[in-house]
Amino acid sequence: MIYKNTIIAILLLPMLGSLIGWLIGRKSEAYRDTFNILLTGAEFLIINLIFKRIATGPVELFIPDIMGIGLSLKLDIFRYIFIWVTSLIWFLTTIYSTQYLIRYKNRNRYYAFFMLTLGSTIGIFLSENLINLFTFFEIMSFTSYALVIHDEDEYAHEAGRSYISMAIIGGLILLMGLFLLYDYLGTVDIRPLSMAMKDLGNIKYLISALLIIGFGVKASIVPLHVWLPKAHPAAPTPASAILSGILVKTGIFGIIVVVSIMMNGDMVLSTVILIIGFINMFLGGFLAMFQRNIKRILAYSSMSQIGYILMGIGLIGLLKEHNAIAVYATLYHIFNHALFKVLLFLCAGVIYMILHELSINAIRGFGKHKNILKILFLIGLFAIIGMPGFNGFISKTLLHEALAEAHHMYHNMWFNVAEVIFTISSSFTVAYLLKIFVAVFMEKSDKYKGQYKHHLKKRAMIPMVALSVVIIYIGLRPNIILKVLEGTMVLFNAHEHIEPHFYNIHNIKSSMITIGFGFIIFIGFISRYLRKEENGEPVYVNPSLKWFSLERHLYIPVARFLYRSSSMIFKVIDRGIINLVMYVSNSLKALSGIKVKKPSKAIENLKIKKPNVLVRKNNKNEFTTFSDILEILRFNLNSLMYGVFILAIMIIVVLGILVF
Amino acid sequence: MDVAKNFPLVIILILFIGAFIMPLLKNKIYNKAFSLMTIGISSVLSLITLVYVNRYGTFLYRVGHWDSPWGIELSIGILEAIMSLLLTSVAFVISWYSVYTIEKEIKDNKVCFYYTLINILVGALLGIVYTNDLFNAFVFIEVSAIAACGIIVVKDKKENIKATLKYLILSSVGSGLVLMGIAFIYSITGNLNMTFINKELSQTFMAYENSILISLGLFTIGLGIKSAMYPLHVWLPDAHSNAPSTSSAMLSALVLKAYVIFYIKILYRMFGEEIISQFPILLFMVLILGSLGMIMGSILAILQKDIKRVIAYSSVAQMGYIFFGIGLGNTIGLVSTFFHILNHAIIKSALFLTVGSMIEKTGQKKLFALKGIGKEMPITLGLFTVSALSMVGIPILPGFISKFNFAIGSIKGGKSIFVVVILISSLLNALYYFPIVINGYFGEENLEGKVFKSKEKTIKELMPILVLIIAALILGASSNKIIEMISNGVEVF
Repeated sequence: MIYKNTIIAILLLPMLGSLIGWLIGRKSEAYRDTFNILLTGAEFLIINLIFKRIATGPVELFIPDIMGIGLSLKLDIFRYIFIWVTSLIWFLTTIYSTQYLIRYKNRNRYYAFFMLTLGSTIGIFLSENLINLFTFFEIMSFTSYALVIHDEDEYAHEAGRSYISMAIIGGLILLMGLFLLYDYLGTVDIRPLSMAMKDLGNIKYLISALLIIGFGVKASIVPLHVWLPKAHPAAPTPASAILSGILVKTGIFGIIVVVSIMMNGDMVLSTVILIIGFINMFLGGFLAMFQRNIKRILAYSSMSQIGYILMGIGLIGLLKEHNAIAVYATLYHIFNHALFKVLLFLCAGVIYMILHELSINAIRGFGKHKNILKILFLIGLFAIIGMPGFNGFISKTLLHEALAEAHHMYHNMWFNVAEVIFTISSSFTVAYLLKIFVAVFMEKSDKYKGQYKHHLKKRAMIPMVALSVVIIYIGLRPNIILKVLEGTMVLFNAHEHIEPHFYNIHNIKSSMITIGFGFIIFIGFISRYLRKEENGEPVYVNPSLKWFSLERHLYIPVARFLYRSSSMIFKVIDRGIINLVMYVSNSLKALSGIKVKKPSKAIENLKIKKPNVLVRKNNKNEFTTFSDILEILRFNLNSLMYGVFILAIMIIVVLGILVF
Repeated sequence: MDVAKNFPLVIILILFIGAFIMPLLKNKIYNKAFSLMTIGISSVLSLITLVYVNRYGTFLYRVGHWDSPWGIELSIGILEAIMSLLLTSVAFVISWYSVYTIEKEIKDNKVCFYYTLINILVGALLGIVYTNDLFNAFVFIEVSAIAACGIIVVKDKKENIKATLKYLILSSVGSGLVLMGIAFIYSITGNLNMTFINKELSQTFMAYENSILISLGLFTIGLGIKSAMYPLHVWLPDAHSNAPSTSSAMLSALVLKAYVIFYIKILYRMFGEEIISQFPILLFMVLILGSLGMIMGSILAILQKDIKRVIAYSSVAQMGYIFFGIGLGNTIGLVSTFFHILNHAIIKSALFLTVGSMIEKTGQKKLFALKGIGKEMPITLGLFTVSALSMVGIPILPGFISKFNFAIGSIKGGKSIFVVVILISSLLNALYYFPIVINGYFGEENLEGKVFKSKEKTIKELMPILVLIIAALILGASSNKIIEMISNGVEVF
């Protein structure tokens, strides 16, 4: 029971903390910052404390009558990994925020939404019920929107527009999938669904496609990634860090739930995810090389890394009973990516904090004399490119092994292509990070000579140092995480137990080859073609700006066309009804205005009695109109004769109907 | 408590004897007081009867201690007790209102006559509700028809006489048809007591199928005329719009309803459910006529230019609802019908009284002349608004509850399509009630030159209307209990 309460506590703590923090912040900013750090610290601590219980088995909790069908929460090892890394990153970024945000406005709003986002993210990872998951997912979209537009300048608003419109459309598609799911299976609980989906016909592909599109928007799968390179740079750095490090993972979490748990790693779906993964990894890496804004490079890098994770998810399905290695690889990479991507973002944030500039051309040579920052960035760089001794090496090796195993299993020539793409994408990673590193930390610049030292406070450095320590520690002792990951095997129907040796000559060699390729790409492509001399200063150019842009050239025109055509159709319907009514009323008016020549005197004289109205009208006008006739009719209808007449007819009709 | 068994007869006697004493009292004031007193006493007695019946169940009362086939019998169940309470108390409130206003509408020397007629009318209606004897009912019907004509013509204007003649002729035809129906039944069964007729009929109805059908048809048409079933409503707009407003309230709220009660009695007590279910065409016809009334009544009301005629046509629509409920032929339909009778009696009398005070104060009957009335008589129009909202069917108010129950009844009776009729009719109701309210309260050009509260009646004179509105609110708020009580009544009917 205590653990059930704990689950509720870790869900509610940030949500309540957001409100309390906001209230405190109205009085004193310093207290609020301390409060937030303590809160996230406490959250992290609680999550650490319940590990022992979670390791022995999942904790489930059901509270009826919330959100209509009840709140169904579950915490097992699989979810625990996500939650642990979420709370860790949040704790560190909160510490970092207190330093980073000093010059920003609306800090109180930022912290409130920051904490709400934490609560809803935790809610996503805890939900055992897809409706709960969807609800938290939407809350998270809206609260993180407030973080994206925090600067409230034009660029931030444009990015926010992309972000929120994609998120809403994705959410609606997701909801449609959920409706179909509920309609066909009558349940939205994740565990029963995995049983029930088997018996469903081809409709299950439609349902899972809708769900994957919905989650895929957040996970930035191609071609739904257009918001990501805009939103991540637009947000304040701690927010970009969590967007890239954690929020993208909520989409990944959803995709894992759909593909690997609900669909039990269906072959078709896994293949599709695998292919999307390769596209993501290649395209993200390729585009990252052209960018000049550091945060944008890192954002595209996230996209590329998501490609690795998607590839892992695809392989979980494809490897069937031998999927243990793919499971390890995927979850490990999710974990790692959160760590090193946040570290890199925080490094970029430090630069921005001092210079308010992110373009490589402007900050060139800034880090030449900043040794601590240089080292921290280098650690992140080594981690992400998979240098032996860092955590990225472990997960990339695992992913590579999983791919090799799939190759071995299927003997399909496409896997050769896949290996090539994998290697090239990894080299891209090396190349675009070298681009940053060389430009910012190696090149000489007359502007920056080691000043600005006093700008950096310990509060900003501690989280980065902590992340670096974790990165190196688990890079050197990978088995700690592997042991934890073992608990998730049951969920994915994996049985094998692997005890890989990472630091053997083969793995290190392949890692080195990749890095070597990366150097070649950097020197041969980036330095040669993307670096131009202008006024004696080296300047990086970005030709990709002129290329085909999905958002500008496809989505917006299509959306505009859809909007215009649908508004056109509705306008036709709308105007049509109004016109019809007008037409009918006009024609009725015209009809009532038709003038009939009044009866000749001879006939008129035959009439013995006339109602007053008739007499008056006839005397006045030569013509009588339809409305006059109506008037006379009304007069007649009101008479006693009519009453008796109706009565007689009714008697005849009623008795007739009854008797015959 | 057994003395309560005498109360129904006592009520009728008090009212009738009171009616004949009144002409002897020369003074107007005494007349009013006496009439109010008799109706007040009868409503108190009705309340006691209701409590008694609710506790001890239905009872039969032998008038003059003659046993049933020979003597006249009164049968009082929960429904009859509720209806008698409704009739007497609403009549009491209307009379209370009329005390302040009646001189403004009729000549002084007619006041005494008016109150005499009111007493006779209420007594006769109660007789129709109570009696278990066909011929006795017929007599009461005739008495009530004459009295109703009397309270219309008491105004002594040209159009009143015209309207009364129309009403009298059609109403007499209706009575004649009812009499013919009774004759058919008597010739088949040789009885006039409803319980006995039912017993006889249930054994022999197969042999006299056509006669029974014809008599059913005659009763339907005959009582249909009297209770303004569409399209037999032709007399109603003239009669109700020309009568003094208190008379209109009485006619619309009470007189129409008594015949419906009698009709239900004929259907379910005299013929019995068994026979009625043999001829589904009858109820279906009533249902169709009811639906037609609901829609046509409202459409005709929209076309009217005279505010009292609007409300009179609205009565046609509301009687459509009541026949609709009967036509559904299931318990819930019948329960809704009874609830709607209560609801309509209270709301419609409130409407007529508010409109009456507007006409009295402004001297205008036309809708366009009453624009901006909300500034001059805000409280009166406010009361009107509440009643109008109830008519349209805004939740909490009783109108909504009866419409809701009608809808449920039609769905349960497998006639879901008729829910559409209810919805359309509600919409049409809104179409003619809301413009009155909106033009009354809003519109710059409407309010121009009007002085705030310049024509408002005193609270003392508005009190009766307020009582009616409060009663309506209570009816809406405690609808569950009342509906439960009515259902119990319908079970034992």
